[in-house]
Amino acid sequence: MVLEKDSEEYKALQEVIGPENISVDPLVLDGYIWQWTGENIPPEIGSSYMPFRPEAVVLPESTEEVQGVVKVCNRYGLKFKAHSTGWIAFAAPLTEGVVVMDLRRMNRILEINTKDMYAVVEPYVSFAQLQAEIMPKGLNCVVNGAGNHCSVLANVVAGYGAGYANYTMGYNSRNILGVEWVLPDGEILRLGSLGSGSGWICGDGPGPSLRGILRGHLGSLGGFGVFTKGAVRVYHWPGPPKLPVENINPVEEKLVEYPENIAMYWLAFDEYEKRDEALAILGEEDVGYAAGFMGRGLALFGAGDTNRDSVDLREMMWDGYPSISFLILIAANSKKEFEHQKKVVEKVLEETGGRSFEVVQLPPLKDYLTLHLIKSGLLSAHTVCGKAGTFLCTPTACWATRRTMSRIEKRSNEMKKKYIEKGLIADDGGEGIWGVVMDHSYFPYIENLTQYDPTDPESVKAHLDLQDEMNEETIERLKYLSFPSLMMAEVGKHMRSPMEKADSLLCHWPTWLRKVREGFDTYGSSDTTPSFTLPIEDILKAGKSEEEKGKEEE
Amino acid sequence: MNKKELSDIVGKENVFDEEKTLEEYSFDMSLLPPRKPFFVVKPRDANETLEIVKLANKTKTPLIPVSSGPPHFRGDTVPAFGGVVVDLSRMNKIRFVDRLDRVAMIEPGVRFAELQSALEKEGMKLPIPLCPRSTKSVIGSFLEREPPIISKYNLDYGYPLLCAEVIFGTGDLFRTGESAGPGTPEERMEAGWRHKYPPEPQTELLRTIQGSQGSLGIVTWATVKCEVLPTIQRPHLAFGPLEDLLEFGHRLVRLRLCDELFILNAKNMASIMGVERPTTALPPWMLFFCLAGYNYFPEEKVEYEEKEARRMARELAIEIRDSVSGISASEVLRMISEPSEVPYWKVREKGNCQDIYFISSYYDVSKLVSLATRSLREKGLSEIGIYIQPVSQGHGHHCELNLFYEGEDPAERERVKEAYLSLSAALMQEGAFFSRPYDLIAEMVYSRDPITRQALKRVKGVFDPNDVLNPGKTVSPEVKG
Amino acid sequence: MSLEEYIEGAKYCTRGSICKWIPPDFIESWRFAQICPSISRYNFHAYSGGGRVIAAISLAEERGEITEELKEVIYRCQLCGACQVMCHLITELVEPLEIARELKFRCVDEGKTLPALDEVVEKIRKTGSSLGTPPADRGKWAEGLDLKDATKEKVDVLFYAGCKLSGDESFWPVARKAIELLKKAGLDVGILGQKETCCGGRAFDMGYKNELETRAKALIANIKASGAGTLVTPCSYGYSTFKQFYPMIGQDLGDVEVLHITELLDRMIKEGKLEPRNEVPLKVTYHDPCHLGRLGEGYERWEGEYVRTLGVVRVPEPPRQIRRGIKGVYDPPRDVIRSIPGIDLAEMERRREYAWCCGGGGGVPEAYPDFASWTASERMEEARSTGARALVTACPWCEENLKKGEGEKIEIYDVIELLWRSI
Repeated sequence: MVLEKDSEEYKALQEVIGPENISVDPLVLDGYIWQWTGENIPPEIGSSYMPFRPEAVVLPESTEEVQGVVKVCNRYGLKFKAHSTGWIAFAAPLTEGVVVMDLRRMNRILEINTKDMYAVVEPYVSFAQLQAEIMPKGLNCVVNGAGNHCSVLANVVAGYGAGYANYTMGYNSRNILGVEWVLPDGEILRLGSLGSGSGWICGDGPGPSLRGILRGHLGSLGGFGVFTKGAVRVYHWPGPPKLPVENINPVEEKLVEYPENIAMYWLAFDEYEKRDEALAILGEEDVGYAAGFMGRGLALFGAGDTNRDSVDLREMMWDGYPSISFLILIAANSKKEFEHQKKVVEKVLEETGGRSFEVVQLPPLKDYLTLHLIKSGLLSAHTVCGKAGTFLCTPTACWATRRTMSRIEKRSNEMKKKYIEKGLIADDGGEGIWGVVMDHSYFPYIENLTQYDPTDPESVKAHLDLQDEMNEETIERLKYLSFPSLMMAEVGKHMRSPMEKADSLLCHWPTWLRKVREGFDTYGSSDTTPSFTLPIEDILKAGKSEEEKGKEEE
Repeated sequence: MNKKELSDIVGKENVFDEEKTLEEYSFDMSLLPPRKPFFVVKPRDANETLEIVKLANKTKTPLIPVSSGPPHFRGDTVPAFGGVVVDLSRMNKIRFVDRLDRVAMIEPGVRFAELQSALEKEGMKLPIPLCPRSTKSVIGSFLEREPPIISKYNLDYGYPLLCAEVIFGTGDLFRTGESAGPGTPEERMEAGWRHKYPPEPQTELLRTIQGSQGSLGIVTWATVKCEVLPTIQRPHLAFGPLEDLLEFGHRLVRLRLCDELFILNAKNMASIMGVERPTTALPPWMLFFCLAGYNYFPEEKVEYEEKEARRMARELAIEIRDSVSGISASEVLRMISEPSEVPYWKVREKGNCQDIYFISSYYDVSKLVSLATRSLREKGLSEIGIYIQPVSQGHGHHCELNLFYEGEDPAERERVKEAYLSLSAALMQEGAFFSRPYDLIAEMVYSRDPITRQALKRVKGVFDPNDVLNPGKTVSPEVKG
Repeated sequence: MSLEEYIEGAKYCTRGSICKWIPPDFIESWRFAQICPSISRYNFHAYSGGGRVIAAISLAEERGEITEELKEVIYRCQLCGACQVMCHLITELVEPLEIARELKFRCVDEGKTLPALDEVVEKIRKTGSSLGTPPADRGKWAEGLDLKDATKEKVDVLFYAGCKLSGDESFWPVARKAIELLKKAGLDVGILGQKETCCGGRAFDMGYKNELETRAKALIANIKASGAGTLVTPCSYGYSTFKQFYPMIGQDLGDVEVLHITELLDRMIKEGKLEPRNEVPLKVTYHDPCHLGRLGEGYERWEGEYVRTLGVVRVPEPPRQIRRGIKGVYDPPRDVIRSIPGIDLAEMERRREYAWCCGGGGGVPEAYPDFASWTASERMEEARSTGARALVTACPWCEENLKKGEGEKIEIYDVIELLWRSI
């Protein structure tokens, strides 16, 4: 129920953040519950609205205001959900009685430390903003695949995702140092060295590291307090201070000057094993700066200026594009290093029977792919948001090994074909892999991107069926559990919490998670993800009228 | 808890209550007063360990997990309230070494030398801390976040640990990261997994177990990330003012130009290398770094790296040599590639050593080191070792002060204790982060951050509500009404 | 089209918030990274392009109505087109700009108007000028210039001054200088004088859809009657109205070539008919008017449907224009400026398709002067950050609104004025 303006709760919130910074207008609130992937969540499959309007949306500007909002929520038995750039179903409230905290006004870069190589940011600083400020200082950061218009803090601390520069900069949760964290009970926890008065330098300790409960391969997705500031690690950038670009169209972006000592390769192979071997060797030899995967179908969809172009390219260029491949960017500090790295690439290709896909060395592909590997810009969204309408990864988030990478890639591609044949998802030729390579090839990471029509319940259901089938397959045969995929299918298709299934499969990890979270959530005010306390019955009721609900209760 | 109950679990030959044995486990090299345990038990595997923990919960008996052999230094193995020492040294198998995925699975009793030897056969190595003692457990070392000396591989404070099997203080078995499932560890291996990926879906519990001194769970196996063995190594020594060496180290690490890199003061260099001449004969500060080539054009790689390093050194007016005052870089490399010779270098000269370590911002290292040396000199402790290690791929520095002293001399002991406490307090005030608070300074550190302490109590309350695991070392569990 | 016709496409909004930023690969600093004045100022998602799309869907699905608060959301939008450019970089299926405008139409239809905007429209209806300039005075700015009366004799080039230049005396020098330049280039120029009426573009952007139709019919008839082969205007809003709005409502100017004054002046310089000679030693920066740049690229009517292919991929049948602003007018004004000896042109970080709006569009200066001035202040801060001592633009509405920007003042000129100094 949306708060009334004359209610005590509304007045208390207004007192904290000022009258301009609170809204209970229904259609303003709807702006926070229409979310990407919302179409997968009941009660209405095929509508991007999530089921619950917030009680209110507030715009705090400072940690003190965030804390004030949390305390008001605790006082009145409301829940709260932190939201910055959003962009996933779980950014919306997952039950009744949630106040959404839109952290847009908390958007400053507070410090850039060039020797300890970190940047302290507030929630609404985007990757692109951060890169613009740190590149002139010879530094760079991982930018998640979602794109460089997304929030740094949300992705690194609270969210989810992977980026091409994970290759040299580690997967996201490695990059967290000190964090300022408003806990669900309203206390401010300063993680690591920050709490001891020693600045931002370290997120672990004293003693046992609370980073371990802050996030895993997913963050808490806005449901475990509010992160108001965080220090994220940044890394050396060998390239120029700026990368001026022309042409705003993602598939026409052109570097004004192609930087020195930087080269982009798209390496193609005849066999998966050879591809994986080449990737491993390059990582072991410390060659490369950023790397990733782009399935043939995905790449072709992304290469078109318009949907029509993409369709034409997908059909005409299919045989001309490599099926088994990866991209790698070399960015060297000196000419000698550059020559050495190129030489290693050539040698590895020779040994593994690989070849460089030369088409991408021509403009505009050379420029925009190079930029994409460095900046992870709009090419991703251009590829997947707007052809069929939307996408999700099936399965998501697979951190693979040498033995499992190709198996998962092949099997997920195969399984998709059934749904392609039914005409219910986009026909990417069954080659829709996207991925990155983490920790110098130690963790190849893949997602199989399935594009579907979010407005068409049949298409959405097909996507959910595919998720479900993939989950069954990967859990049973491949012994791999993709948690985001599990969440989506369990909620969307089976209308139950994924934790039930996950508990027996993951050493009762969900039970431990709940115990840890409950320890911190004295008032039960966090609007946790469906991983936790999803009230499925409430979601199903949300789509019904009061009369229908009343009848059911009787 | 009685002997019979323990014997039923581990067999009576693995339960020890002789005075001599209890005495051995009652103390360590720290300044903590000794306290004897009631028993020492040596379980064979996770099942036995699990049963011990369950029994401890039933009988409210403290357990003190120990994986390394003596001498211990941090007070973490000294029973605070009596109890049973769980000595994991029987669990000493290297379960597998996998070259393809560069990972090894080891039990807590595995030590550095044997692991390095096994890895070498596969063309791999594990970056180790600076000259650990020969009895040091690999798992024990990294559970306490000891920094490895190759910063470029030191991906974060969790490194090189990946996944682990752990018995929580509740008596529940859990496997962290991808090892949680689906499937048993064996089924997962069969399916091609190798227990590599550390996080669970929304937690990374092994991180929380690290730094806990065994007070949240007992690890019964862990996987570690292994690196490629170089085919060429070119070690060097550099010397100059500390600030310049820090800058030099920063650049080398930042540009990934070397493998091993650390800074030692003259005392520590002499101690580690077993040099007997006065430390005044050595430069006050030395930076050791080693260039490395792997399998593809390694000579070319080290050649351009060498040129680059020398160019940087010239810019900073630092000298690079292969040998300094009779200490050769190759010898240093040999020394630091293995655990310390016996006797352990830290106790070789005077018999005991009190360490003070903390994490520092680059900008504070010189200041903190100066403060420390000044303060200790004033207290008459001038022969101290200093070790500075870039950590977390250059995002921070581990600073370590080694106070060598005559442990048998009560006056000396008292002086060191006073220095340890007062200096730690002073360093904390100036920005040093004591991320690993042990023994006498633990209370001082935790009380600086009451909110974190409260959070840790909550976590302890989840994983060890009865406070059976090493009580008194970190925090006690939160008691909820 | 009506709001309902945009809803099917609207549902493909994935709420990526791309509509709030300049193209991220073009961001040069933290400070000048945002593109939408509305959300930058008011922060609730509803104020963004995507936010209004969601509000429109909610209205269509009867999840609510236009409340007082939502009305504010709808009207606090300059319709600068930035969200459209950004959205269309990733999808062609959603039309945030059109939806934002349709929401204003809906407000007007439901009688939920703003008095300040009603007043403007009333002026247009009474006088044919959005400033209320009486018809008899419409051509007064040109007295003494010896211009042809295009209502009485054929002209090659019809100069359309627009409401601002003709109705605001402070801008008359700009209009007069424009004429002088065109005459110096040897062009046969005339004006409609009293018969020149408001193009209706600003009223359209204020939500008065029908007003555009009425204005268009009257004006187009007079333009065609002049026999002019070229219609030139120094008003960017007028330019965009001729090139975008009129085709949008099915009205067009036939074969008349529509040019902005900067396009024509650029052409004259390149053909050697105008030669900037005098030095104007000045470091300047150029502000791209929205209606000349991203909204100046012309509109191609489309009547088709989106069909499914390759499963569920949506493709327009027949092909349709995707408006990303790329074909707007960016280089001619810059080329004119650069042709002036002594000028040092420094670009702002946000420029061309992704320029920050001056704040003057959509009825915002009339209805929300504080928001208009805030938007201008942001732009002027950006201008100052280039080190320029003056800002040059190509639209009197931009010029007027930018002058309301707070902070240290720098000069603001029209391109015409600078070129005139050099000739």
